[in-house]
Amino acid sequence: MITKRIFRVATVLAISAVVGSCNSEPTDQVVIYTALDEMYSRPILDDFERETGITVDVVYDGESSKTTGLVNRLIAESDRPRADVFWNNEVAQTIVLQERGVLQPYKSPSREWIPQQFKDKEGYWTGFAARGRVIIYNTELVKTPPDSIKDLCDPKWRGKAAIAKPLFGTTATHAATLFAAWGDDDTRSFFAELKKNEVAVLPGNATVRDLVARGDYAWGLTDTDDANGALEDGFPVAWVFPDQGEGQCGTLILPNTVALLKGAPNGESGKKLIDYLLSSEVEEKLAASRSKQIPLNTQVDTTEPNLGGIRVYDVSFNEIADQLDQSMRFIQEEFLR
Amino acid sequence: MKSRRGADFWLPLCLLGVFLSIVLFAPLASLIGIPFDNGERIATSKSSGVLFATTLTLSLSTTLLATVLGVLAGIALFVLPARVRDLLFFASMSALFVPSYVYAIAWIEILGRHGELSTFLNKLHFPTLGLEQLFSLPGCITLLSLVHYPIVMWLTLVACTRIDAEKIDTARTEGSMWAIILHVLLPHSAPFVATGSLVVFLLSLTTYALPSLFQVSTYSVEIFSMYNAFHDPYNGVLQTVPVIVMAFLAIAIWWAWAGRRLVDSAFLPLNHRFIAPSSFVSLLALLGVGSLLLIAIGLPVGTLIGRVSFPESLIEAFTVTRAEWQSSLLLATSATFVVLGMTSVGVFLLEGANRFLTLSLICASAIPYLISGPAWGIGLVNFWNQEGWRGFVYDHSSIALIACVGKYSFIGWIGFSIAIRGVRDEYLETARVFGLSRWRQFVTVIMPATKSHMAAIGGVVFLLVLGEVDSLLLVTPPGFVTLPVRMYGLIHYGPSELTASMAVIIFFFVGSIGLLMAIFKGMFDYLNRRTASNR
Repeated sequence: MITKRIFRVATVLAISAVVGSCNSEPTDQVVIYTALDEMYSRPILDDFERETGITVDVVYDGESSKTTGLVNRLIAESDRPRADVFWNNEVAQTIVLQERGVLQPYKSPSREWIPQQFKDKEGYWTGFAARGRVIIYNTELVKTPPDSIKDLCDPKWRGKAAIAKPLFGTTATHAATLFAAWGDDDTRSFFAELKKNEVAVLPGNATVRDLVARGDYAWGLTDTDDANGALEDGFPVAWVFPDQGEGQCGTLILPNTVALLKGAPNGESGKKLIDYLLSSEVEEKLAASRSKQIPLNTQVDTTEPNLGGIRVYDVSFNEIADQLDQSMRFIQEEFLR
Repeated sequence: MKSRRGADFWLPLCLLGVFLSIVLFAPLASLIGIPFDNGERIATSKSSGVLFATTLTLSLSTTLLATVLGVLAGIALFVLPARVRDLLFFASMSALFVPSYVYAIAWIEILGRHGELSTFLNKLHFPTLGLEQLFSLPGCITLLSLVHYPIVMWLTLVACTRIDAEKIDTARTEGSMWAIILHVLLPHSAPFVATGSLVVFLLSLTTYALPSLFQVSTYSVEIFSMYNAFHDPYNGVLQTVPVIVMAFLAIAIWWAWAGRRLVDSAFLPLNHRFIAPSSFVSLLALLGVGSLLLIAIGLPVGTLIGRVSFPESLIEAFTVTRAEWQSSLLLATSATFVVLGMTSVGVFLLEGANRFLTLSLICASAIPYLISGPAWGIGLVNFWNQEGWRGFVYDHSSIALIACVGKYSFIGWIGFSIAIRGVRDEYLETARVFGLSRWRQFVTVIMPATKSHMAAIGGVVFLLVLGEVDSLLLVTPPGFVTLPVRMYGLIHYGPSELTASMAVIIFFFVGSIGLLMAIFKGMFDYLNRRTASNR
């Protein structure tokens, strides 16, 4: 008797579940994969959800496989995409997706205010809210801060400096930029020198920030959002744009990028989200947040932070993207061994 | 347990076969298919020697250190009075189920320049231990050993409580406490200790989260990196081969030396006698276990609690992770019921059919665990990320359930095959004589007879799934984030108040389950004693 009763209840439940799922109202939703730190992207996406009533399902990126993890997930899912929008925290990996045919062009009306060099002319991706790769240093341990990334090789800093693992996130893009700007040989010897000088390789840029802020390392390379966060938390740190002198290579400035996925299951909602992310309102929010991202939209009126007077690398994002694979293989095979 | 096999045998067996094929074998088969695919391939032969050496060093050193600590702690617990022993035992064992990365957050904090330990050592004018010690192979070994030693401790204690009291008395008349340890406790515990060491070896061989956090290049980290950095499942699959070879080699050595002896000793009756050592030995044992507990759990948890502001940050942590808690609890509960249902019915049916089949199934079900979480994740992506019904499952939270059930079902297969041998044949025979169907035999005889095993297996699976990260990282669907996955993502931003609060909540949640189990055990023992005295 008990068995029969259990069987009946289970059958009723199963039928209800099936009928329930068949009758469920179609809801407006959008699926976004984002590599921008959760603490900065979540409030923006929550606001979009509140303002439009479109449900946003998010897949965030872990710091340990920043950007690259999501990019490869998008490649793996490209035949049957689950995501509608990719919000990357840098640009080179977005170009990789474009080259692999994972994206579709979408020219949002909001992109007209974004400078030409920060958007793809065919509309596959659009940049906004940039960050710089900077030197963060502990003011209690460093009196004269280093001014170049080549100072990582200076024996004076042996075992006292740190970088994030250059396989992922903006550090991977930075490594590819060096290959594009300096050439193969110089970059390889630079990384060999880093190893010789016992530069610590930490799980992510946020860890570099934390350990420099706590005094475990004197200085390191990180992104402006991480460095600004440490400053805001009152740690004894400061940061500088590296290589700004005459004849030096400049700083790497990386915009966030947003792109629509080819075959996006919720394409229309995806477009609405892209329009929203490229709006001046979002750039203002990101500039006002603790990450202090640099607005690229010319309609945004801010004095700080801005790109004025910064010497940047003389290489295009496409050149950087072309070097990415070679650079990552070298890092995996030679540098991290 | 043999009987005529009708539809009530073949139908569930076929359903089980289909279920196992989908959940377990198909993703594994798709993983095997990858090397024959024409996908991208990147040769990493240059680094394979280093990887092999690092993984082996990590696993062997962790095993060695955890074994030494576990044996000492187990023997120390054995000589303590029962109540103190139970208290310390449950405290140590609860900590085993707190995910290792939770402790990692605390140790990053402790070893920082301004961390508790560094500040204390500074005051004593000792050189401070830097974080660089932690972000290294020795750091990883130390932390893994502190997390895993309770396994060896538990099995040592189990062995000691099965030693014939007369042997202990004889040894006591001939020598000191040390003689008892050397000549009775250690030799008798050896197969149990070897089993604990094997479990620790397998756990550290396949672990991903901690080595990844501490930048130690092991096979599991490499599999994840190669897939994430280069979308290269080919090398991921190749790198599971040495892991599986090492694992099966370790199991073979264990079986040859300790397996049979363990089976013989495991069914010896319990010895409830307290051996009452001298007060010096008792004090030493208490201090030893207490200090270990303090270093392994007290210090990290204390540090985390120190980071938390009561009750604001705890409430905030709970509020912002409400959805993740729901997902995690739903996942852990469903995985527990699926594993319990599948393995209990499966073992019951197969035991009646063919024991060799059961053994083969146990070996096969352990493969998803042994190839490490990231490789299992790759297999799941490869099989489920397809058009049609598979795509429907892949887009749904059921993929997370499949990941966890596939990874931890071996616990159920092993647990129930041991449990079902304890069921007396005459009970089943009586049920058959009364004409009960196979399903009714299962419900009325097997389930009541194995309920304590069921509770133990369910508890272990529940807690392991609750802390699972490795296999979920690659397959978590949009909108279904579990607490460990979110925490693992946040850990890299350092031990913030939010991560510390989440860690404290997890710790107390797991601790309270341990406490409940201790209370139930106490009540159960009390009732048993009362029943015995009434007789």
